[in-house]
Amino acid sequence: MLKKHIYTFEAMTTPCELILYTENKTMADNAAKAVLQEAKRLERKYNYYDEDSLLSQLNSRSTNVLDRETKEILQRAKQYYKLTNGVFDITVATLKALYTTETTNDALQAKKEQLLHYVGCEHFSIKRDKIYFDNPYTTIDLGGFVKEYAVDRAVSVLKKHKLTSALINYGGDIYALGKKPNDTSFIVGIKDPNNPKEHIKMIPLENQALTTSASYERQYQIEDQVYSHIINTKSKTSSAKSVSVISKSCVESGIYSTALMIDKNITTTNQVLLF
Amino acid sequence: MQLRLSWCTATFLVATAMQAEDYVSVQVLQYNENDNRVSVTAPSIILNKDFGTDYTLNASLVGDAVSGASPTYYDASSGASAYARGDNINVSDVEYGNVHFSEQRVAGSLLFTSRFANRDELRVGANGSSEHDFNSGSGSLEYMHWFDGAKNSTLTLGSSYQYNEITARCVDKTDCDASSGASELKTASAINLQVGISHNINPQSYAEVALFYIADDGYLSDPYLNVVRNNDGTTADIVGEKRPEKRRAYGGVIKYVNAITGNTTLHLSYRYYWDDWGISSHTADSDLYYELGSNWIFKLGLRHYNQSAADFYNGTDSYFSDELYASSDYRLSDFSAWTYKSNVDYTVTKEFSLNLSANYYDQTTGLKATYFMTGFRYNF
Repeated sequence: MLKKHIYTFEAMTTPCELILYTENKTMADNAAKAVLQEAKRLERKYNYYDEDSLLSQLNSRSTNVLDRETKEILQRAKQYYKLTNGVFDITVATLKALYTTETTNDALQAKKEQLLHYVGCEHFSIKRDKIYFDNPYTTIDLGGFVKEYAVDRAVSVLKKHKLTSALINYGGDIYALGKKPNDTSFIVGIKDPNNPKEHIKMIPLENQALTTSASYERQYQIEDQVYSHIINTKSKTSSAKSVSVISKSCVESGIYSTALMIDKNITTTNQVLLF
Repeated sequence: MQLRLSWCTATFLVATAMQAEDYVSVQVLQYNENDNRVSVTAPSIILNKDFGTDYTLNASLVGDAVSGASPTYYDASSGASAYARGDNINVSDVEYGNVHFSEQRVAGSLLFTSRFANRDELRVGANGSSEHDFNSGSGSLEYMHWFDGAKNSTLTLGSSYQYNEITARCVDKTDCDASSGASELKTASAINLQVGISHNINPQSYAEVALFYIADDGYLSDPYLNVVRNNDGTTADIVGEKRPEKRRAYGGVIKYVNAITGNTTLHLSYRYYWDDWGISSHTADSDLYYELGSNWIFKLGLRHYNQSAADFYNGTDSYFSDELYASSDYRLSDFSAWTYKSNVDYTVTKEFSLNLSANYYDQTTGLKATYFMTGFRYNF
């Protein structure tokens, strides 16, 4: 008889929750501990704001050597950049330093014009185990990638620990491993963007990931104009307030939900829910 | 919860000269509704400190734990599993019952009183309240002016501003295993204005009259409450209630206090309230105080409350179609209520006193509640 065990922790500034079904508590404890360690490892390695992270060292050009994992992540990011017609772009961080509350709109626009030339995944290339930037300004932020990647990594860790039924939820980026012990799917509620605390739709998941992007979650306020945290270099707009994508991997869902938030015309074979 | 709004709102009544002294009071409130609905345990501490004769600081801190069951629609055919919003339900299966919840809250307030040379008073207050999905802050400003040197009449002008934040989080996991999507912050504000006069009619009696105006704006719906719409006789939809995002209320209060004998005092008051949601209410309140010797004070009280229903209210056994506003919250219904009150204060020493109150509330909607408060006060 599988029993339900719930674990919560914080990683990547996000509240994380694991619902694990195991025969005994020790098995669940061990699996949860391994998942937490993996999340913390990724947090340290790819933290944009930590000067000691590998990502910061790449951005400061103090190293250009990539380990296997980072190489794969960057290659996938470049691939998604093409698939989303440049909307999902890990180099948009080049503009990130502009978005501070001290900056005026005029100053923002002037600097943005200058730096826009260095935004785009074509400004870096990967050869063997090294990354090469074609200018000193382009920087990479994996913020739109790592949390979802950590969910996918958690799935691998749980599978290694022989778990067959679990729900991983990192701040609304979700993967359902298997079914619940009563042989029903995990049910994930999608929040109604127009009505707090309400679910606009209930989605059954089984070995599937679901993420939702909504532009009003985090905003930068400059003078009286509000900028979404999904910084949009292409000036495209989408009328959707909330986009959910269901796929086989959390990275895939996360990238498409973010990209579709900006441009709803991007094509994908995954299941998409626009609200 | 209605409690949290009413408790943390900065309130003010027509002022009388404050009997300022230095004290600490510790109280515990226990509130229980019938049918195992809401249960509240709320310990609080109040500190009052004079700084000379011109300044007084009053600070209070209350923490409460609320648990119980809030009424909602559920599926009677498959047991008591609550319907999620957006569900299309079989009308024959729908029941209205309770779903369990629990909450914790911490609230604090500060009130600073400054007295001028003519003994007019300026009071500045601040309140804050926090729970997992609801934060509230308010500030108040009040000025009391003595009309005459004999200190028989006052004019009081008061104002307060309250700001509430409601955060959307997945708290109810009865419907789903997890929740995905943006957490949206909803806000609401309330402005309260009041003007009042008080007068000592004679050495035995005293009266107050006050008028108030309340302006509520923002998210005024209860995020937990549902209504039934589009009942075609076979199926219907469960959706969230929706109230207007604006409410304007007006009213007045009259209070009369009379010392019937040397040790018996009667307090009478009447309050009229009207708002543009269609609710008007009358509250008649009476308290009789009796001093036994120098150590005991007993109080017996009776309050009657009566209100009309909001224009957009329908009972839970009814349903809505495409009306813009819809609520089945019984607090917006047409009802009346009686409150039976009792209290005893016992002065143990000059510095130390104990108190105990027991109250019973009986509403025509079927809601009944008991609330007890006990504690002590230490003068220093």
